[in-house]
Amino acid sequence: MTKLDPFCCHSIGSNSELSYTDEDEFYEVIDIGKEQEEEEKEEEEEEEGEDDGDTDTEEFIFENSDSDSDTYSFESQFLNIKENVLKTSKNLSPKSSTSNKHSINDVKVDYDCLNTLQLYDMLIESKIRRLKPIFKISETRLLNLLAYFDWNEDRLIERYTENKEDTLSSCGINIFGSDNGNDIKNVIKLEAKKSYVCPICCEDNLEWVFYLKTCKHHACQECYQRYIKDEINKSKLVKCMNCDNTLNLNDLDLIMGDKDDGSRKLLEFSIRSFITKHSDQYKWCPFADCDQIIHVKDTCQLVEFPRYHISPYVKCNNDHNFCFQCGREKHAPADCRLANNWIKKADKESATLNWVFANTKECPRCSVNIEKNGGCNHMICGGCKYEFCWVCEQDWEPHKNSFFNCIKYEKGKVGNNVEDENSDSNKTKNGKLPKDFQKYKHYYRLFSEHEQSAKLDMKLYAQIEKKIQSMQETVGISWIEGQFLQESINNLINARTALKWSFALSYYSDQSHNLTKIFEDNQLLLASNIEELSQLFTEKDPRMLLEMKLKCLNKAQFVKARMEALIECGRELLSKGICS
Amino acid sequence: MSLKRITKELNDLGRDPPTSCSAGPVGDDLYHWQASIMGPPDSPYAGGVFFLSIHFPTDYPFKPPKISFTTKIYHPNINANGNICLDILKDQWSPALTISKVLLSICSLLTDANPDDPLVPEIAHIYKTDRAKYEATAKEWTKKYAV
Repeated sequence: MTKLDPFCCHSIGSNSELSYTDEDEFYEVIDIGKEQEEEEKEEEEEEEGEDDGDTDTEEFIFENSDSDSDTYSFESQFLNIKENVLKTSKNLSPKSSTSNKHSINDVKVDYDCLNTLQLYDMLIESKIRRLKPIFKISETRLLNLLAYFDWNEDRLIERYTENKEDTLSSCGINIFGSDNGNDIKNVIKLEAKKSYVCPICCEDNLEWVFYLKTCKHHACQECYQRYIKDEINKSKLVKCMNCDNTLNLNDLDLIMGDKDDGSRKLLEFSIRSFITKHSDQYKWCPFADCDQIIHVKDTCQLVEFPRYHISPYVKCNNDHNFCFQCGREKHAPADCRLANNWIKKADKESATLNWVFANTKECPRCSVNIEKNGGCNHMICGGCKYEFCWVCEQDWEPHKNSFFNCIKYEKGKVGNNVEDENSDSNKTKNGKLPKDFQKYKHYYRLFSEHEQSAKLDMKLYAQIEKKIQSMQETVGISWIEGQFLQESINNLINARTALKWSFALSYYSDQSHNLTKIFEDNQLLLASNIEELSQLFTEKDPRMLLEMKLKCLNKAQFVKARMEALIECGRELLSKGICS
Repeated sequence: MSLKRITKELNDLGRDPPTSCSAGPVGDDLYHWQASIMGPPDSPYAGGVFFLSIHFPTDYPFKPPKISFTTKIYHPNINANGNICLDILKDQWSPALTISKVLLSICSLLTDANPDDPLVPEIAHIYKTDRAKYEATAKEWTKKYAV
C-alpha cells in the first residue's frame, strides 16, 4: 500500500492543515475498500490451500454440537464457544464493536469485555444447564462442585464417573440428604430466644441464630457473617465452624443477606483461577486497578496476527488499550516479537542506563536542575529563560521549523551528548563503548523519554478534565463542546506511544535501506507534530484553549494520521524483513 | 466481644479441667495466658511439665490464638523459639475451637509428631531414620529442661 509515502505527506505539508485531514480520510476510505477485496482473496486462497484438515474437524464438531443429546467432554468445550459466540453477538457492547477497527489490516479479532460478574453469569448459563441432567443435584450444589473443581468440567465428570460418592462428599455434599435435585436450604434462620448464648462469641440478647439442619451446629448472625467473610477469601468452600459440613451457596446468601457478599464472592475466587487456567481465551486487563476481562471468542483468529506483523490490540470497557497476545501496552509499530526483544534488552541494559536517564536534566546553559512537569519537550529554563529541546538538549530555535532532527540517530554524532558519553566511557576500561551499545543507548533514551512524556501527558489529561469543567462554569460552554480537548489528548497519548515503540523498531532495522529512511522521516514528522500538539495543551487560560479549538482538532487529526502512517510503514519494514 | 468468649473459656476450664493440661491468665490481662502440659506417659516427654504462653488476638475467636512453648523441647514440629507448627493454629483454625481443644491437640502432637511437615528438619530427619536416637535426645531434653 502506498498510503504512507512520506514524500507525498511532505508535499501535503505545504497546504493548509485542514486539508490533511480531508485528504487522509479520503485515503482511508480507499484503503478500506482495497483491504476488503484483498481480504476476500486471501481467505479464498487459504481455504483452498493448506487447512483442509482443520475445516473438516470443525464441521465434525458442529455436527456433534447440533445433535446435543449426549455430553461428551471434549465436545462441550466447543459447544461452549458456540454458545458464547451466540450470546455475545446479541449483547455486544457498542464500544467493543467499534474498537475492532484498530487493526489496520484485514486481520481482526472479535472479543468482548466482561467483568467478573458477567463472566460468572456466562459460566453459569453455559455450564450448569448442560451438567444438571448428569448430576441430578440442585444448581447451587452443582455450582459448589464446579467451583471446587475450578470450572474444569472434564475433570469433574471423570472423577464423578470414577467414584460418585467420593466426589460429592469431597466438597461436602451429603448425598443421603433429601435433595432430589431441589434447592433445599441446609441452614435455617431462627429468631433467637432470650436465653440463647452464641457458642462462638458467648453473647446473649441476640437477634438471629443460624442453625444447620444436617449437623445441628449453630451460631449467631454476627459470628457467621464474620466467619464467612474471612473464609470466602481463602477457599473454594465454606464449611460449618464445627465440622466438615459444607454451607450451600444459598446458605451463604441467606446468612450474608446479599448475593454479592455471599455466593458471588465465593465464586469470584474460583473464577479468578478459571481465568488463569484459560489464559489463551481470557485475559485480565493489565492496567493497574482495572478488573475488566477480555474474552476472545475464537483463538484461531489470533494465529493470523504474527503473519502480518501486527498485534491483536484490544480495549477494555475502561478504555485501556493493550495487546492481547503479549499483555503489554499498545506497542505498534513494533510487533510482539520485537517488543519482547526490546523489553528484554532494556531489562538487561537498564542497570547501566538507569542513572543516565534520571528524571532531571541540567539546563545546557546555566546548569540548574530541571524537572520535566509536562508532556512537551520544548523546555524553557526557569532560571536563565534558555529555550532548549528536552530530547537533544540543544537550542529550541531550529526545532521550530520542520527540521526536527534530534530523534535521528547519526553515527559519530558529536553534540551535547558528549558529556554523557564521556562519563559513560569512564566506566568501561577500554575507554570506548561498543558501537551497538551507543546505538542502543541513543534509541533507548528516546524510548524512555517519550515514555516519560506519555506519563506526563496522562497527568496533563487530568488537568484538562479540570479545565473543561472550569470552562463549563466560567465560559459557559456545553459539555459536548469541551470534548474536543479530550479527543485531542487521546490522540496525543496514542501517538506518543506509537512513536516510543517506533524507536525500538529503528534500533533493529537496517539503517542503509531506503524504507528505513522513509520510516525515519515519518518518525521525524510525527515527533515534531506531537511536540506542537503537546505544546497547545500547556495553555493555562481556558478561554484561549477554546479559541484554539480548530487548531487543536486539526493538529490532533493530523497527528493521528501520521501515527497510522508510521505504524503502517513499520509493518512494512517488519514484513519485508528489513527489521530483524 | 472476644472478652466474653475468653472469660467463658476460663470458667469452663475451671469447672471441667482437661486431664494433663491447665491454663489461666498471667496477670490482670485476660488476653495473655500461661498454660502447662504434662508430658504424655507414652512419649519420651513423660514426666516433664511444659509451659506455654498464649496470646489472644483482639479478634479472637475469628483469628487463632498465638501459642508457643516457653520450656525448651526436642520435637520435629517445635523449634528453638518454642513456635509450634500445627495446622489448627494457622489456616485450619475455626472459631469453634477452644483453648482446651488446642491444648489437647498439642498433647497429641507430643505423642505423634508429624515429621513429614517439620519445623525443624534436622530433628525430623533423625525421627525418621533413627527413632531410638530421637527418643533418647527427647528424654534427655525433658530431664534437663522440663523436670
